[in-house]
Amino acid sequence: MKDHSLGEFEELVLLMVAALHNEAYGVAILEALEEKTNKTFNISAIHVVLKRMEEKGFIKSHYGGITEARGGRRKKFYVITAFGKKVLDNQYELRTSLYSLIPKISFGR
Amino acid sequence: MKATPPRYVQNFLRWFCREDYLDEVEGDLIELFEKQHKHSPVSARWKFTGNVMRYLRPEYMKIFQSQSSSYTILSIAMIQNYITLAFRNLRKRTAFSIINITGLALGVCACLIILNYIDFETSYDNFHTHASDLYRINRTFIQNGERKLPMVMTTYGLGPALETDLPEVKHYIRTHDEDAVLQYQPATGDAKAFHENKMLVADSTFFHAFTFKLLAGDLPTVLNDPNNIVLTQTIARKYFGNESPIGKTMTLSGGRMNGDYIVAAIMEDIPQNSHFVFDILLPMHNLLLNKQYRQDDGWGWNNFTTYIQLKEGASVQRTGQKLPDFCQRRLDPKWKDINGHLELNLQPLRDIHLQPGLRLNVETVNPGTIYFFGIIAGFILFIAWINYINLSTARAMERAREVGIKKAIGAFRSELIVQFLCESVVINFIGIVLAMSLAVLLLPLLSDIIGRELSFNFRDIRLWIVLVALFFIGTLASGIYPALVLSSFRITKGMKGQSDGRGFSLRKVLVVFQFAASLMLIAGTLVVYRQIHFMQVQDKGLQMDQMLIVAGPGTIKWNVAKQRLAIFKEEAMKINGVKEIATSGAIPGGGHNWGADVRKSGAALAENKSGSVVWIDPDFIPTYNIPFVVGKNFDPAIKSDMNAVIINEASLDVYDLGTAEQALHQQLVMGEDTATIIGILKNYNWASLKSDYIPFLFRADTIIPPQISIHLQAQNIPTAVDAIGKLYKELIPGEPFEYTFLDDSFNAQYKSDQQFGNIFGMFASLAVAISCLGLWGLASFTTAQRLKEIGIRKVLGASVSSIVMLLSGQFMRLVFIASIIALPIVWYGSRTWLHSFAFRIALGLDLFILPIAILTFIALLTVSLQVFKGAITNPARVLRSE
Repeated sequence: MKDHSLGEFEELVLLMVAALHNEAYGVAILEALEEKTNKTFNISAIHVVLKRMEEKGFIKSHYGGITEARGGRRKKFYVITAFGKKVLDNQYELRTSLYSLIPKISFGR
Repeated sequence: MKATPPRYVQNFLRWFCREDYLDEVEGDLIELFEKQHKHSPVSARWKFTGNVMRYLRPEYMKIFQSQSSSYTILSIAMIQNYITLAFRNLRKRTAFSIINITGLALGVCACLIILNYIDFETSYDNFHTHASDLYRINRTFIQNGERKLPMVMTTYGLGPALETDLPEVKHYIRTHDEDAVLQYQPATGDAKAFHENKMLVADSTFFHAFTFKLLAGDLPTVLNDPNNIVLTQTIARKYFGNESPIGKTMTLSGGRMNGDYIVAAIMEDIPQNSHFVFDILLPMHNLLLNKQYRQDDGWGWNNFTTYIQLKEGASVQRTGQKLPDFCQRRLDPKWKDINGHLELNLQPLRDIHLQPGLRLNVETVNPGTIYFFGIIAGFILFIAWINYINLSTARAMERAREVGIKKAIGAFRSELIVQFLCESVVINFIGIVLAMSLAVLLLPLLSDIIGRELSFNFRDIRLWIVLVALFFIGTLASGIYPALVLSSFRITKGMKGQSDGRGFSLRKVLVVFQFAASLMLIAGTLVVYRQIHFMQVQDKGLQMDQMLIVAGPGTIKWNVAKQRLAIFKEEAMKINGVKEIATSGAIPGGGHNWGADVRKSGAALAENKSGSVVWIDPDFIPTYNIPFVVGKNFDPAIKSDMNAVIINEASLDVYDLGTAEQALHQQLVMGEDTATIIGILKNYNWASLKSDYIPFLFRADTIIPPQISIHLQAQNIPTAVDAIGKLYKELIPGEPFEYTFLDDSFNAQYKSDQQFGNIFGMFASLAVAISCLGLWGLASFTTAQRLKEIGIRKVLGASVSSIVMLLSGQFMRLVFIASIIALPIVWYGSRTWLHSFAFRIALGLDLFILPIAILTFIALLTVSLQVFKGAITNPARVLRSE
């Protein structure tokens, strides 16, 4: 049975993959995340999450060409799948529907 | 220049990381490194290394990756599958599996029992809280440079002197054996009186130093009051039943410290693993008031055992170094005249049980025996494991097909190895569980054979460690080789049903080893039993059979006892069935009355040699039927006779008396006494046959109360004993009538040898049984393997008998080789063991031939059944298919 759940960090990375469409690989995701959230992450954590989400079918990957940089290693690009997008949508819908339940009370002083 | 990450770290990453992830991981890491390197080269290197380490997780590592597909060798599903297969294989070949597991279980069970025994023997006196600070004082007397046997007995002055002279000594504890009649008179009903010979008199420090469990009363202070008595649980129950004994008055009589004592404390029975054997404890005070010790200056009678407790942190070596000086000042002046001096040694309390060879010592065990049993345990375990290896590889032919098919459909060798190891795990696990249950069940039954009440303590972590270790080592030791052999088969060969010839020669070597070990054990058992039997039936030069020994009266005065016993002797002679009757101070196998210093009259004091003196009445020598070399018995009518001494042949040389004829009428000085020799007896074995003939001297009195020996006629012994008992109670009322038969009490000396033999025999039969299980399995498989050959031979006209000969011949050859290996070892081992006995059996040829015959017979029986079954199969059946 496949696991369709989406953890908090997974959601962040998945959003980033979707946002960086066609340019999403490990280091790019890491840097974009660090810039947006102002936190530091570890590259290995991102790799593990990417691998897990690929197994779950939220994203798919393809390799880029060989260049001089990166010690001659190819980049592994990730793209969000339709299924991944749907999971994100569901998550977003759930959030907004819950948010709309908050009564309109002023929190001001 | 372009920055590069640390090369070693990078190589390491390439080494462990899976190829398919390397592009992403290494690429990203290098990209990050290059970016960070611009800011800070050093921290970039560290970060790179740290990041690499983070990929040390199974999903990124090569070893957890199967070469071809997504599952790994150690995946749970596969292991489940292997275990299922293992159980299926076990079931498919039920008989075979039972043999395999039983053999393993028996071996491990024997090993567990022996380990338990060894553990018990080495745990003596470990339970005392201060065990590491406690020492016993042993003394060795050295005269004219000649060292005598070390002794554990010391004088009563030694303890206090040690405490005053050596600051390291915290307490001294003296103990003294005592036997007397203890009596309890309840308010109503009859008095209860018993001879108690396991009483111990001890200093008040006893309970400070030694740790014993208390049931009632206050142990630490109980020995301060001179009129207190401490009973063990068993003794308390014997006298008081369910009553509370505390505060009751008991009376001691017939000993050195007669009087009334108040029961002040009850302690638990002494644990089995203590060198102490007492059941009643008395304070020292009254004993030292006894006339014998009051007249002594504290350095005369060596009747005490002295222990010392060192202060915490005191060095034993330093204390020991002070002892020679101590001896010189305190002890040696006394021995100057005879050119002797003493040496004292501190013996750690925990070592007492494992250091035999001290005179007048408690029961000990030779550490050699313990090592020896350890070796046997190892032997048996090896035999069991070898069995497993043999049986597993013997099945190779059958398993070859399975291996072939598995390989053909793509199994790797590593997977097959894991599969066979799993099988080994399952069998070893069942074996261990079975062994443990068997050991728990058997241990109570074995207590008679071993002579100890042993049990397994499941709360002891060491037991679990041993079990787990046996399991793992067993699994690997017995599983690796078969796994390697079985998994190595080539596909084509395996499919054809042929197994490699490899492994067969090793199998033969293993069988030879098994049989050599079994043979050694059988021969060893035989030697031990022969020697014990020899010691029991050998003519001791004394009348041993039909000899009733009655304990003489202990409570009444010596004079009164003599009068009563004179009447008793006279009356008892009239009882039908009584042949002869004599009284003496000691009986054969029961020590002597006095270990005297003896020399020829006129010789220098320094010529003193030890001699054993026993007082007897004039009827003793005829009753025991000891023949004279020259001279005559004591004659009560001649006064000078009764002051004389009768010696044995062994004394002649020791005291330099010349021949028996020359010795007659010479005089011997014993201590302060001088006596004329009036007779020389042929040598007799007063003590165990382990020791040689020693100088023995008989002195005479009309009646000697302690022991009564009655020679009975062989018929109607029970009626005679009854009549004697009645007469004894009539003449000496209030005395317990306690008797034994001399041959029983004498042979009880060989108890430990008998136990040694029993344990030996038990393990020998176990080893043989396990070996035979293995042989049986081996025979059945080799026969099955050669069925076609047998078929062809039969078709060509071979007879059943010739085929049986052919097949069993190969096994008999193995037995023969095993014999050649084992015999020299048996010969050497038995000779060494027998050398500890002064009187021993000759190592005859039969002692070697008989074990071989037994082993050959058993092996033949095991093999022939299988072989015969193979030999009578119809050739048409086996040759039909090819």
